[in-house]
Amino acid sequence: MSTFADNAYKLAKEAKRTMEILAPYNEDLVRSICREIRFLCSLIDKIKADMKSELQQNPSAITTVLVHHLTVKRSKRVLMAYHRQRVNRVKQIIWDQGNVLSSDNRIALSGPEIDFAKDYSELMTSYKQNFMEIDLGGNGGIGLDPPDDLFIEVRVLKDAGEVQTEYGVLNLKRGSQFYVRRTDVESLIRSGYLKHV
Amino acid sequence: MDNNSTLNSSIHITQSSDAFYETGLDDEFATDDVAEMTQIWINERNSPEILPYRRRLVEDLTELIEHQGMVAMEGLSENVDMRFRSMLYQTEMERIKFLIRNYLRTRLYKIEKYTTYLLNRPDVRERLSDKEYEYAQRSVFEQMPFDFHNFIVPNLKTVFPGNAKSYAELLEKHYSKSFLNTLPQSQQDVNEKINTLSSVSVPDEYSAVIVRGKEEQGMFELESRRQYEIRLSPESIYMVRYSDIKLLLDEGQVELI
Repeated sequence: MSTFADNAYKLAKEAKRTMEILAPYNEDLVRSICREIRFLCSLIDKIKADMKSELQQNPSAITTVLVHHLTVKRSKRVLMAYHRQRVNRVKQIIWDQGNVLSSDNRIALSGPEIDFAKDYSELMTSYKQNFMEIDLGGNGGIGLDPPDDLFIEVRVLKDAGEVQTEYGVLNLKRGSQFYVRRTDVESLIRSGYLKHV
Repeated sequence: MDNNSTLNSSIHITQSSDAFYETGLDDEFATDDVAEMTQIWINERNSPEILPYRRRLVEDLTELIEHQGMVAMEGLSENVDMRFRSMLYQTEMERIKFLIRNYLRTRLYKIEKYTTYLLNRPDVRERLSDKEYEYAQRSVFEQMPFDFHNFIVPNLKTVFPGNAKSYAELLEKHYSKSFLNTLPQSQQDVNEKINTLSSVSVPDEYSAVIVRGKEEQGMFELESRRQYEIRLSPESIYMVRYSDIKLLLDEGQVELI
């Protein structure tokens, strides 16, 4: 039998390794850690029930309970850290790329994470509505970079039809080039229709 | 030329030029707002904990931007000179928008990072705006129109149309669905404390900040190291523990840089 919290250690290492990327959700490992926690908790309960009042007098039993308890807490902590790190990653993706999760990302996420992404983007949108004039960005919109030039030169990479701006209508045909206001085309650049030249 | 005077009195296009700042401008009010916003934003960026929300400032500037946007649009159709002006105003507007956007997003970042801590500490919770508080935790009892005379409890569905949840709820739901609900009852608590390790993130008050006095204020004794004093003046810059200058920052005697 493997040592207690072995799997938790594995998960912690995986979390550390995948700090910068969104790795596929390790459901098997998470499940086996949960199983171990359940097993240890039942052991603790059993020892407690068997010994009752004698527990205090039995150093070996008390140590067993303590070690098992610490293992449980340790494993739980790792689980929390693993999930929190992934949640932060998911949030970053939603701010940077928008709520439409790409299929690559979708495969890497667990069911609850996909739900979280959906709910989070709703929450964010409802907060953003308080500041319409400012446009807080997110959902692949304007980023947190300081503003550069007001107008930029863009080349059209993919046909995007006609786009209405405050300066008139742009007919975005592939290969053509425009001098436009940055804020008008920010989202088109991010979604790959235009390229800043 | 009526347009011009409105433009001039609202937002100056000289924000980036320090020289212009110091030589004094005809309208102190708006320029001060932008300068203040810049400082507030820098403070917020550099402080480990969330600072009191500056509602008036954000609202004023947002209003100005809205107004300015309309004025700048009017300038478009006019001659070349006006178009050039309009472009300058728009550039400046983008800069101010950036300030506010970054300020609000920085706050959101801290709110998400320290959600539980913020919500459990009434003194810290006060620093959030209403909307930010709602974002962190929608409090059912505070927002529910409760009729005490007739004891009519409104249907929750009608009070909160849609199902936008607060961040705290989202996170708890997520943890619970991901793994907590498969654990034994005794281990299902999200926030727990084992010895010195707590699962609640708390801002690090001991982290270092770089600070500068706003005016000549004389010496100030550091709380963490009694034998050390720092001189509060615009010329002296120190790197100190955040907890040491927390009060000074609150009183507006120092600024973070």
